[in-house]
Amino acid sequence: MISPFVFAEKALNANPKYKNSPMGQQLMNCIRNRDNAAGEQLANNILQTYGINKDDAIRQASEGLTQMFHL
Amino acid sequence: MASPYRTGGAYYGNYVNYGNQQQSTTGGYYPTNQGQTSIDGYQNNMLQQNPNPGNAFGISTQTQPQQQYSYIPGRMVRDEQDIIAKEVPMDGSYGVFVQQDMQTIYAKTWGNDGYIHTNVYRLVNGQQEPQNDPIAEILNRLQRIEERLGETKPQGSNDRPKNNYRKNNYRKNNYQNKNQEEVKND
Repeated sequence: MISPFVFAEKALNANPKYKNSPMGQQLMNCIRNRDNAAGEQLANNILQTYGINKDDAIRQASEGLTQMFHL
Repeated sequence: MASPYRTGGAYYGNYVNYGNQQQSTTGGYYPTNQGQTSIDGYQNNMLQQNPNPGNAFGISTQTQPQQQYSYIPGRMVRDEQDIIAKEVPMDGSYGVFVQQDMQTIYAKTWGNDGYIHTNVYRLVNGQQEPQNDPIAEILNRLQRIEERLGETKPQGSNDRPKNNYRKNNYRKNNYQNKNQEEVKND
């Protein structure tokens, strides 16, 4: 099974539009340094900005991934 | 499921028509239904960029060319609260939102901390309070001092006041010293 870090890094590399943004670079630093806490903090800040709570975000993400991968 | 970008296109008016179709439908910052908070936009975006579901999230090593905006993302807003997070580009560029009364412009971008950073530009010659100009204040003060001096100066006197106190004092002292020396010599 593919590592989540590798998955995230490849996803970010495939989207240079997001990768080259300040937030994308910060995320890439978190991934490369395997810094879980910083990554989680960044994700929490984004969710706070969007006004979504963590549980809802996880549910929506899992639904989206299920739909994408036809699971 | 209806694409949220259809409603987004109508909402943005002319902005969507600029640039090519791919640009107009990318990015999660086009609004979905206004009240809805969802990350569907991001997911749909990924699906559109990677139509093969097995290749979702762009796992392939192929990189897409950097997209250049031929328009400025943004719109007219009533106030700052009218702007939702989804409208701010996540690629590091600014979304520009003009207030309807044309008094204020908000430029918003995502920072590296996961929050949206805002620059606010306000109209200068609108309903702005007069600022205190320090040079004008000094000039006014000088003028007031000049007027006050003019009031205290006696009528008919010369412009340059005579102040020979020191000179007279010096002469007087010198005269006294000379006299004392003469007395000693005698």
